[in-house]
Amino acid sequence: MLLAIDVERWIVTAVHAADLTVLWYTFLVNSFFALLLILAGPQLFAHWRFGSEDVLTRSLTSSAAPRVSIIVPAYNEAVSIVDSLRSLLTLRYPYYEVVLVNDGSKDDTLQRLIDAYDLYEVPPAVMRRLRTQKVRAYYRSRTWTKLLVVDKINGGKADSLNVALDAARFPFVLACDADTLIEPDALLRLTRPFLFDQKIAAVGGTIRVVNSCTVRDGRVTDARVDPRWLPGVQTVEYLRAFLFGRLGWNLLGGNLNISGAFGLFRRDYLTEILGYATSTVTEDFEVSVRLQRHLKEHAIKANVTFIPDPVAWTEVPTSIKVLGRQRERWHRGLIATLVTHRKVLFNPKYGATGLIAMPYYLFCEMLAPLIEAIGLVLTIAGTAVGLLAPAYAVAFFMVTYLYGIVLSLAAILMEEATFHKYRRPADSLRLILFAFLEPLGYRQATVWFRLKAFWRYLRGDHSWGRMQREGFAAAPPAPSTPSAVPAPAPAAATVRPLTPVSVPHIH
Amino acid sequence: MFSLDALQVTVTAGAIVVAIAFLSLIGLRWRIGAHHAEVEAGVAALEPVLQRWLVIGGDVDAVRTALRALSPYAALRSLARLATQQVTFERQQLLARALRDEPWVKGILRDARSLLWWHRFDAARLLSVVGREDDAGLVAALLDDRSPAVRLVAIDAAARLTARPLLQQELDTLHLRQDAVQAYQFAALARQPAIVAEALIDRLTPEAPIPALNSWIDVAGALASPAALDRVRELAMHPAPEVRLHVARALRRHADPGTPPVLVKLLADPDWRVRAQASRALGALRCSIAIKGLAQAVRDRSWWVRYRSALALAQIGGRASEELHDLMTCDDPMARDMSTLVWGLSSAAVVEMSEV
Repeated sequence: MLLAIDVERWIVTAVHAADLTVLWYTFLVNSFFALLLILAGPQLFAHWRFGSEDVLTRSLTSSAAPRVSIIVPAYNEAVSIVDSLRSLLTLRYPYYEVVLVNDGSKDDTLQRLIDAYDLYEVPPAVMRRLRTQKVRAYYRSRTWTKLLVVDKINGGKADSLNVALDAARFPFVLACDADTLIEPDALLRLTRPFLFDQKIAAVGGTIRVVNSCTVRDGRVTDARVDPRWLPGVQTVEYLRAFLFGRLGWNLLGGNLNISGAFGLFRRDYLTEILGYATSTVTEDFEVSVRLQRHLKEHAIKANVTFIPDPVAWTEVPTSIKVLGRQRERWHRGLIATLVTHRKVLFNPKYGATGLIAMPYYLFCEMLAPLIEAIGLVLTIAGTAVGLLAPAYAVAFFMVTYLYGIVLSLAAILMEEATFHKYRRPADSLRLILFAFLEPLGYRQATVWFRLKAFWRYLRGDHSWGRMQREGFAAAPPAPSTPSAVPAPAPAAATVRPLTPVSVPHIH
Repeated sequence: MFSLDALQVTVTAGAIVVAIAFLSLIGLRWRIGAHHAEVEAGVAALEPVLQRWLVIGGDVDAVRTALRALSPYAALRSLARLATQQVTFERQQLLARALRDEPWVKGILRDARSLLWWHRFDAARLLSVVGREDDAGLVAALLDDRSPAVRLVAIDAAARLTARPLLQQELDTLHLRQDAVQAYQFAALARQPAIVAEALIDRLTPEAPIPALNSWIDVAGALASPAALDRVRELAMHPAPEVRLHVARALRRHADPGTPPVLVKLLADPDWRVRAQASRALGALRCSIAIKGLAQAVRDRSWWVRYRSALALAQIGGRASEELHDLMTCDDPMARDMSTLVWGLSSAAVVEMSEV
């Protein structure tokens, strides 16, 4: 009898202690995000002021703009490649080239490019510094001097990026996906830190959700918030992650995650670290960590920074199944990268990267789904069997979710106060609605997907999963402009790995 | 662990925070919307007045009156936009004189030494349109501002002025800036070519410190001033390869009979960067006397030298093109590849690729 009472007391104490730990963990993580928010505020204001039209125009017309090679891997993109490429070739930027790598597409991607851009084969007159799959041919365009197309044997996204890195001529490379829509002035904005006397190793820009936006000629002409639950919630999530999640890191030792869909790098640093790793499923996160490590190990004083106003648009999953694959892969990549670079963790030699950023990714990102799942189970089960007071459960959900809602609302507030991309009041109301809806089901689903990542990582799974794209909402044909080039056709048939935009999950 | 009272307080506090965030969002949206509407309406009203003045000319008073009707922010934005358009110097001076005593202009300029960077930023933006010689001290301070954005805009403000001490300050600190900022400053300095060239000539000596000398050579190239470039040419045999590199780059703007022989000599420089820039310069100057040297340089061991030399041959055209064509069947595989690459380019592509 006494033993039974002791066991029961022990269980109650253990449940209370575990729940209290989870509660404090969640509170501290959310408070860290609040700190990022506070740090991001003044920077957001500054970038909004710097980005004023006349300052941009001056830098565009001066010879100061750094030379940039845009590197684009493409795999089975026949449906939309011609239009996507045209939008890349018509950016408002004085000095750039586009290096597109056809990664052994099984469709007629290459033939469409040859026909549309009058390509001719040229000898392999490039310096090869990185080990990659075999390159079949290089093509230049007779009509678009900015364009170089490389055709190679299939080797994955990282391998294609490495081929492009070798073929690029300019000192800076912008890695982006063939289906990412870059705003016309985004490159100009992205290179702004160079005009501010900063030594830059890499710069990241904002990724926004294109679902439901109107797209004409590869340009977003009308930004909308998707009314559907899943893409709508992700719109809020992306806003939060980019507007303050990454901006705050600028003051905490630099960013560890420059998006693979839209990130500018100094080419010599990328070459020194032997380019992108082909063995990872989140090559953008891995290369960012390796770059930071390289900078610290060689005492190079160069920033890896993020600026919020250059915008690229990407499509997000609209089905829970595809979202699950995407988030599971992102988390698997995160685990693999942290394990690979474990030497950096808590290592003062790496400065803020070792002491703040990497521990953050370990505790607040990698372990977050485990701890949240434990908290959920303990709280629900503990309350159901009477081990925990209902007040405790309410406190748990408030700290976990209400705090998160406040942070989401703050991100929406920042967006409204500065860049104000969504002009219609209905879109603002949708954002607010989705900020409230996010904790109801979406959060728990992503916890589950990320938990699966641990299992698949332990099994040694290196697959990417597939994504079914919906394509962009085309603008209605304008009667006055019958010759307007149609927007990219719905790409329902285009099946390719999802753009690895690793969005830090913000609780 | 939690009393009911404490829980109620927590729930209420949470609900209040959410409500405040929600209401702030609505309020902010309304306020920003109203502000944008006001600014856009003002700018739209000003635009035709400004355009009429720019195209037809006439009385500047109409512009002044239209600007006065706007909020200072809207007026500044419109003016700053104007500054980026192609407005003649005389027109800018006329506008500057007309606006200088306007209360809103004085208000913004009063904040040029404010503790808040965005006030100094706005003052620098305004000075790039209405600045005059007696602002030199203020512009000098803004050029050394702790905010990089203010410093950048102050470069434009300085470009309006002809004050020698200011230009000398800019030249003497040029090499301390990052490359992109230097390039921005070159473009600004090129707006006062005569005064800058005069200041440069004294500085372009072999004894000058190398980092500063390199930046001055680049300015001379950006100015394309024959007198300054003559001095640059004299530095072609400088012992430091970095200096020779900058010289080769700058000389592509010096279309003078004395330049090609110097560049041909640089084609044999031990440093590949100098050889590549010399090839580029010879192509830009369309030097037919360099064809033989360039054809030889297409066989260089450095990729960049081969690339620049092949492009230079394509740029020169005529006999140089024939030489490039012959290289496509020569015994050197690397020269063959490079000449085939460049031979396939359209003439527009050759020009564009030679530029960058």
